[in-house]
Amino acid sequence: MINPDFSDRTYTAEVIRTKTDHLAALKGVTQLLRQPQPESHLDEATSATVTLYHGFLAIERDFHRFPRNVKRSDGTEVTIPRRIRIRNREANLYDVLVAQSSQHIIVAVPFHELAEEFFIQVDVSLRGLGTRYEKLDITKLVMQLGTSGETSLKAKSGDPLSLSVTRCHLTYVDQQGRTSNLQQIRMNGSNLGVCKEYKSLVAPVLEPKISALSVTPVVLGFALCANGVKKSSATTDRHGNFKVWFAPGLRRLVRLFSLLDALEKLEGVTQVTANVPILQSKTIRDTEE
Amino acid sequence: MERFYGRIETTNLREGMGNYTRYLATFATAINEYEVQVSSSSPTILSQNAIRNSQDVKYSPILPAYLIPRQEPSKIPKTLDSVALLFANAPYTSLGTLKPSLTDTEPEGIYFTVGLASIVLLNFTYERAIQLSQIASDCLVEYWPLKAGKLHLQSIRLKLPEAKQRTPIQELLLPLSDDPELRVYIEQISASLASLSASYGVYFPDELDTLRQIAIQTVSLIRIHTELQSSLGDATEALALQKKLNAIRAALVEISAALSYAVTQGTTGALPVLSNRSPFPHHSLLGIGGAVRALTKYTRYLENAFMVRSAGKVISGPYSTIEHQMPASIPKYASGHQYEFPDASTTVLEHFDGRGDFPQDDQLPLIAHFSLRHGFMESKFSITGASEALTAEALPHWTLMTLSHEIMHSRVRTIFQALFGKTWDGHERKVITKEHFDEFASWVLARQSPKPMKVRLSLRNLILNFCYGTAVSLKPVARADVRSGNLLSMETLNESYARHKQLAIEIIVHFHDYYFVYACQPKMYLMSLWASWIRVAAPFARPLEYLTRSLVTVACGSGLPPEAAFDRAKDLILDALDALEAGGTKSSLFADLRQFLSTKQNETRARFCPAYYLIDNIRLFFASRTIAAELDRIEQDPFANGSVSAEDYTSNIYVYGEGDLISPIRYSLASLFRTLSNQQPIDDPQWLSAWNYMVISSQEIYS
Repeated sequence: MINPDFSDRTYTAEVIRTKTDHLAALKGVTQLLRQPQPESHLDEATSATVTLYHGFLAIERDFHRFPRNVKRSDGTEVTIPRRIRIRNREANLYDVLVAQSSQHIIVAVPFHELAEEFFIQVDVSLRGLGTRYEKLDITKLVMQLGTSGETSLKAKSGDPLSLSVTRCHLTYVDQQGRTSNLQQIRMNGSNLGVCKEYKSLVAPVLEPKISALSVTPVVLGFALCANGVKKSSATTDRHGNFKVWFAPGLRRLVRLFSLLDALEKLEGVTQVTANVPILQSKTIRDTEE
Repeated sequence: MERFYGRIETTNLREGMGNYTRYLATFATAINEYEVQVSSSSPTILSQNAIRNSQDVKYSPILPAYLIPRQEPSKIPKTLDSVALLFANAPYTSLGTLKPSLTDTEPEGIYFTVGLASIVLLNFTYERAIQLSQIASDCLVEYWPLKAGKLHLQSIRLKLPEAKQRTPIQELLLPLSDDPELRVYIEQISASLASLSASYGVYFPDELDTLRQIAIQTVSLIRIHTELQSSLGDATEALALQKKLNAIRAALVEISAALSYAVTQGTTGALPVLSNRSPFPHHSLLGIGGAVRALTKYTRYLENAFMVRSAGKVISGPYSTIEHQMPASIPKYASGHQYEFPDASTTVLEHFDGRGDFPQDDQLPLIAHFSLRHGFMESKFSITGASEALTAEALPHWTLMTLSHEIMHSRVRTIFQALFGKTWDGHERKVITKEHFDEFASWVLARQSPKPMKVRLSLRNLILNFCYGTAVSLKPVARADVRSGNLLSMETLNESYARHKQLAIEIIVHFHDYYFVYACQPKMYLMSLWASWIRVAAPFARPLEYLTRSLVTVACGSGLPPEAAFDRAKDLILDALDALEAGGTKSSLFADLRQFLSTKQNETRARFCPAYYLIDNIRLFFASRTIAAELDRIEQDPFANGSVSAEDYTSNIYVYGEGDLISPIRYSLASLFRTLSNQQPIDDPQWLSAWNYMVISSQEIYS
C-alpha cells in the first residue's frame, strides 16, 4: 500500500488526456520521477484497472514550511521531507503521484508551487504525443446541477450515484456602479445544495437578469456519493487545475477516475485544452492560501 | 553519475533575463539571389554590416513562439536549410492549434512575427510546413529552400489562395468628376481602395466592410461638393459656401491620407514577401501587417461596444424628454445617494440604459495605422498609434491603452455635437448661441429654487457652468468687487466656454476611459496616466491642470462630498506615485505633484471643485452597464476569471489561443498592470509587444 509522506496535504493535480499511446505518455511522466513504485488497483465503480505510481522529486528548494518527524507503520521514525545528496548538494524528496486509467493520467504533487515547476516539466516531456489537459466548464456544471446543487447518475455497474457541490466560489462584478464593494463569496460544506443560502447565491448564475451584479463561479468543489457515502471529491477552477485530498492508501485517487467518468456524462461540461492548466492557477492557489 | 530525471534544477537563472528577439534578414547577393540569416544580435549590427558591404538588407524581428517558463529560449539554428512563412490571419489561435500536433523538437523552430506572414518555421521540410499550415487554419505559405544559406528566387514555393470569384463591392466604385481638384482625390482614394480591397480579401476579410463604409462617405462628400460648387455663384453665400467646400476637401484629404497609410503599412509583407518593402525600415522584410491588424481590431472592439447605445440618440431621445434637477451651485455641490451600491436583487437601470434600445445605426470606422509624427492621435477618419509602440508597446508610455483614450475623444465629440449642435463643416462651435446663453442664464438665476429641466439642457448648462466656474477659480473675484446686480454677460460666458471647453472635453473623455476601459480601477488608472504623462511636455507645463484631471477622474462616482472626495483621490494618487517609483518609473514632476497635494493644496482644491462637479454629473448620465458588459465580456473571456480586475486576469505568454474571445481591452490592461508592477515574465519589451499584437490581432470581434 502506498503511503505518501505528505498524505496529510491537499494535492495539486492535473488530468492529462492522452491521444493514442497512453503507455508512452505514462513513461514520459514517470521517467521524471525518482524511485517510481508502481501498483495496480481495480476501480470498483468502473471495473477499470488503475495503474498508480508513487515517486519522488529531488529538489533543493524548500516547499514545506518546516520539517517534521513522523512515525511509520513499522515503528521507525522518519523526517519529512526526506533528504538526499546529489552531486554534493542536499535536496528534499517530495511525493509525486501518477495514476493512469485508460486514456486519463492524473499527476499530483503536495505543494502548489512545486506543481508550478513540475507540471511544466511534465508538459515538455509529453511533447510530440498529442496530449491535452481536461478542464471543466464550471458555469455549465453549476447550471446543470441547478439550485439543488446535485444530480443523479448511474455507475457502469448500474448502481445509483449522486454528484453534489461541496465548495463554490462566486465572483461578483458591479458593471453598473463599477464598485468593488462585493468581489467574492466562498462557501464550503459537505452538501451545499441542501442549504437555502446556496440556492439564492447561485440563482444569478442560472438566471443572470435577476441581479444587478454579474456573478461567475470560479472555483467549484464536488463529490461523488454512492448511497450517501462520499466516494471521491475534488475542487477545480476554470482552467483545469484540481485540488484533491487523497489520504493514506490512495483509494480516493483510484476513485477519482469514477468522478471523471461521472463528469463526462454531463453534457458539455468536460473540455480539453492544450494549455498547461497550472499556468493559470492564480484563483485556485489563492483559494488554498 | 546521478541521472537528471527526478530532479528539478534550481539554478539562479533569473526568469527572462536574456534577449528573446531574433531577426530574420535577407541580403541581396545577386539579381535573383539572397543570403538569408537569422541573428540574435542587435539589428543595428545588421544595418551597419549592410552599409559596410554596400548591400541591400531587409530584416524583421521574429520571436520564438513556444517559450518555457524559467528557461532561456532555444538558440538559433547553426545552419539554416529552409524558411517557411505562414500567413495565418489569427496566429495566436493557430499556435494553440499547432501545439499538440508538434513533435518534441519542432517547437524550437517556430517563431511569430508582427507581419502578415505571422508564423515562421525554420528548418522544416516543405511537406511538413504544408501539413502544419493546414492545421493552422489552412493558411497561405511561402517556402524558401536554402542552399548554404542562399535563396534563389526561382526555388521559392508558394501555397496560394484558392482562386475564388469574389463579388466586387459596388460601393467602392467612386463617381468621376470634372472638377480638377476633386479628380486628384478621387484618383488617390480609388487607387487605395483597389489595393486595400485586394489585400483585405485575402488577409483581412472583416475589414472589407470598413472600405465599403468609407467609400460611401467619400461618395457623399463628392456629391455635396458638386452641389455646393454649382451654387457658388450666389455672392451673398459665397464665403460660407467656400468654407464648406474647403471643409469637404479637407475631409477628402484626410480620407486619402489615412487610406494611403493603410496601404503602405497594412498590405506590405504580403506574399511574395521579397517583392515588396515595408515603410518601416526596422520591419522591412515582413512588414507590420499583423500589428496594424491588431490596432484595427482594438479600435473596432471599442467602436462596436459603444455602438450598442448611441450617445447622440439617447441625448436627442430620452434626454430631451426626461427631466432632472441639475445643481447649479458649484460651491454647494455635494455628490450623493445616486452612487449607492445596488441591491443585488434589484436591477435599476442607469439613466443612459433606460427607455428602450438606441443602437447606433451608422458609425464610420476609424482607419488605424502607426505614425512616426503624430504618435497616439484621433481624428475624424483615422486613429494612429505611436510608431515606437511597434517595438515597445509593452512599456507604459507606448501601451495600446493610450489608444482607448484617443478613441473616447470620438465618443465625446458625438456627445458635444448632440448637446451643442454642430456646424456643417463638422467643427463644434467655438462659441455658444444666444439661445444657449438665455437658457443658461435663467437656470443660474433660479439656482436658489431650482426646478427640474430636460436632461439635455441640464447637461449643456452643466458644461457651461463648469467652464465659467473654472474661469472664476483661476481668477477669483475679490469680495469687495462683488456687487449685486452684476449679471453674467454672454460675452463672458462665451469667453469662458471658448477657453475651458477643451478641458471639459478632456475631463469627459477621462470619465469614459476610466469607467468603461479601466473599469474604475483607480490605482491602475493613475499609474497608467502618470507613467505616460511624464514622457510628454504638456503635464510639465501645466501640472496642476493634469493633476486635477486625474484627481477628479478617480473621485467621480464615489458619492462623497467634494472635500472628502478630494482627500480620497489625493491618497490614491500618492499611493500610485509611490507604486510607480517603487517599480522604477521616476520623474522630477512627481515632486511637483506632491507639493500641489500638500503645501499648495488649497490651490488644487479650488481647481478640483468645478471639475468634480462636472465629471460627477457626467458619470450619472453617461455610465452604462450595457456598454460596460460589451467591453468586459466576463463570461466569454477565458482569462477573466469572473473579474474585471487587471490583477486577476490570467493571460500569460505561455498560454495559447483556443478560439475564445479575449477582450483586447482587458488583455492590454493586464499587460500594462504586469509592466507597471514589475511582473512581466521576461525582460524583452520587443518580444512582449509583438506577443500582445499577435494576441489582439487574432480576435474574432466582428460578429
